[in-house]
Amino acid sequence: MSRSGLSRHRVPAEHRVLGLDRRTFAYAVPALVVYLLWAWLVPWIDNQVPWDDPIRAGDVLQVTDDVTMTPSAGWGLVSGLRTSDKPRDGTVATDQTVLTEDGIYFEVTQGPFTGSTRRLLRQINRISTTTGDPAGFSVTGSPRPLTTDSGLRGLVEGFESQRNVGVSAAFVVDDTGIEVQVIGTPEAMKQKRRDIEAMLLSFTDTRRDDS
Amino acid sequence: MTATAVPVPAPDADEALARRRDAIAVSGWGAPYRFVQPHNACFWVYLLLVGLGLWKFVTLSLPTAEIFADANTAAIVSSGLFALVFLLFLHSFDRYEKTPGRLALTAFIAGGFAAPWAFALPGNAALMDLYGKVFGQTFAEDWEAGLTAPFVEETSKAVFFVLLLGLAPVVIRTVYDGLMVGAYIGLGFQILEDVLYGQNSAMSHFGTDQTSTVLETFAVRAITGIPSHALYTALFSAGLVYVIGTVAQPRRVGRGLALIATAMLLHGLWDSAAALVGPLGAAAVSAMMLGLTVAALVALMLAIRLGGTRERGYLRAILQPEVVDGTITEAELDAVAGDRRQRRHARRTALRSRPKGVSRRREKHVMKATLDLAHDLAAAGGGESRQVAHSRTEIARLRARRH
Repeated sequence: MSRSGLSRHRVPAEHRVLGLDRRTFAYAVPALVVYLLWAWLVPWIDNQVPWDDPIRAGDVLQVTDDVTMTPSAGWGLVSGLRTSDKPRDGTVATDQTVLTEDGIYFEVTQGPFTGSTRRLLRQINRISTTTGDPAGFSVTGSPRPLTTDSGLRGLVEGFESQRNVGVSAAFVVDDTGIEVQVIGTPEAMKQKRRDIEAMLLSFTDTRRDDS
Repeated sequence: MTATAVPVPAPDADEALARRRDAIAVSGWGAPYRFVQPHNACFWVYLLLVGLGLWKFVTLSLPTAEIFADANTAAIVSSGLFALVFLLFLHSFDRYEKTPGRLALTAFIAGGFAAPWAFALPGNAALMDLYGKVFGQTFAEDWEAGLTAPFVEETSKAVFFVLLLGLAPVVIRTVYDGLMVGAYIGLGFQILEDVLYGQNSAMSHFGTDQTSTVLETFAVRAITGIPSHALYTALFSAGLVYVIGTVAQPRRVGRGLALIATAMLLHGLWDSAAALVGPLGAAAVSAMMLGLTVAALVALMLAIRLGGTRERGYLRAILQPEVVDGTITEAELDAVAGDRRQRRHARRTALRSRPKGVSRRREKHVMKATLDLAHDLAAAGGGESRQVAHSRTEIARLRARRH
């Protein structure tokens, strides 16, 4: 034995397993067990538990401190807060609101932004080309103006990747940027087109609505 | 009890030398650390898990490296400076047996790449998802961080301490070793997590104003950084030394579990501060964070005090023969090997009784050189070596020089 505590050359025969020192297993195994727990088992359990938070008629989601949207009944809420939710920490709206239905993801992201709506859409596309579907992301057509039922003005454009199609929309409300990305298979997107359009048109600046 | 003082006879030279050898053998002071150990299962598991973490880090960061270049640069520079300051602090705090540099690096890399990227990232995401699914969005918003990080992150870092215990079973033997090595693991986690937060923060601003956004996030993390991963993991690892037990530290399960629970509780309360006292206002949240910072420091000081007693005993045993030989005085031994109060008192005594012509500053240098001598003696296994001879010469030189 050396002063480092372990044999430098050959492990004593009674402790040797496949050339390894069996006495070190007790220190190595916990790391593998905890790795399997957090990287595989808990994510697997998470995948087995379905989201069960369906949107009911009349539910309204708070997507920024001032802006709300009305999701279509039956869609599942993956993350985000309803206007009726009052967390203890005082949060009014989460950074990301995610809805899902038939494999379609309707994601709303909010954050500080001081530029124009066009610049926001450009930034969204820049980020999407690197973080989105690895099969490729390309914008289809040029941005079109979008005015919601409440009068909120934004821009919308389509995109596609190898397997999916989608739309991106952008709004800027008082130094807050709102990014909407809807993505799904072409068939599902076609089937849920009315829901998606209705949800995009439901974005409302509550302060303007109040006044 | 009578008040008659019975003088304790000073140990003779042979007895003192035997105690020195015992102290070095039991404490593992000065034992070398070797990373490459093909016969050690911990070595292969370490490589595997760090490799998985690095792979995840690269695959997640590389695609966005170009568009988040400013954010990444700001995060790496600011976190690097923070790490540098913290490493200097840890190094100066490491006054007994210095943690070998390569062991500190092994711990830092495990804490920086494997624990956050291979373990915590998927674990945190899945557990937070589950809280939302099972208890609803409002519950998740309030409690998911506080009920996830203490379990996922603390255990992810702790298993690397156990892995290092298997890689360096002689070097890591005492509670103080647990505190130091744990702090290096936690520091690695903190720095690489800051890089991730920097990217997230730039992402949340849609990739604009990246540098100022990252620096803002970094400033908040640095200011509120005392109850940080380095501190939590130091406490947790010290607790593990008590729970597992070593040659130098008999098993004290209750004390160990208390330290582990303290680390997890502090982490959980910190992450839940807004939910716990948020309804009382922002001032209440700040007050709670301040209270937790104080509590974290108290817990750390307590752990240092608990661990320090044994380390000081080893230091005294290693240096005692030098008193017998006349290399240092009894007061100087007390000044380096006593507890805080004893050290302060003995330092004053040593300064007062310093040989004529030796300045106060010079006497302080003698005490530093005495610590160097202890480290060299430990590295030499208690025997003689060129370094030991050099350290003794240094003490003599410092004493001889007049100011």
